[in-house]
Amino acid sequence: MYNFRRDKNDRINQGDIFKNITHIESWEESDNELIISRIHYPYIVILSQDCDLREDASVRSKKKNDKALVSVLVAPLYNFDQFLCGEHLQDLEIEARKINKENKKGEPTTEFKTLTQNEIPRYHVIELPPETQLVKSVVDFKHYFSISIEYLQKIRSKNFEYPLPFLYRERLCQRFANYLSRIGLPPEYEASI
Amino acid sequence: MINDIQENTSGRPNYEQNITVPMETIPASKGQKFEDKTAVSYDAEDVAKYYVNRPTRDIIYAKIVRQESRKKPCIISEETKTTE
Repeated sequence: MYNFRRDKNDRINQGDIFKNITHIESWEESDNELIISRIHYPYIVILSQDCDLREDASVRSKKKNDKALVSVLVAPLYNFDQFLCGEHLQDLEIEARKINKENKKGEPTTEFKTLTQNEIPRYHVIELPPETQLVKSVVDFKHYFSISIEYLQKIRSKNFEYPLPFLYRERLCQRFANYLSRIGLPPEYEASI
Repeated sequence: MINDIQENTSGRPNYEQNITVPMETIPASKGQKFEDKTAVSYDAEDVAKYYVNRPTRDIIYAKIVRQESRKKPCIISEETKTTE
């Protein structure tokens, strides 16, 4: 069970969960017109290093602020049930693979078990305590993106939802770092082993 | 099962209806404990709060007027179109 409490500091922390985040997917300028494509994420979690965020908060308002961040790394949270059904991205017209919960015998499938035990490197399942009212969710590390820290700071009072407790945020971010630093081998190399 | 949610054309759930959802998706904050796996009927607005949370995309079209003195684009109007 999470030891759930809100941090008292007045800055963005690693592991903070924000709601209703708008991400500029792309923009182009043509014929004196700007065309801006935006994606609205219901929930995201902050993945940037907490020491960087702390340094940013301490120097941002100062003249000498070379430690200020340009952006923050975040990843979206998807509804667990929609994720299992492969429907979590359907509003973006993206089809995703289904994950079966149970086999024909009614037992949990191996894939479902490895997902919920956080043993699939790409995904991280988060289940917050009931008082948070955030349903079981999945972080997809492949969908990480960067977002302006000033934008997050501006909307923090309205859109900040919950902080992940220390150990859980460490585990999330370590798994993210491991996923990012993986070394992909060409298929023919793997086959030759 | 997610398709059980009735959505109107704007993509939002139809709050007029009660809908049936799998129990494991009902938030425990309701203070209820469930002993079996059968589905239960819930108010659509409650469910929508927890359920309709997929990412969505929209596109903004904005006209630009360039300010010669500052050479900085200035958006004078915008129109948002949600992708269907």
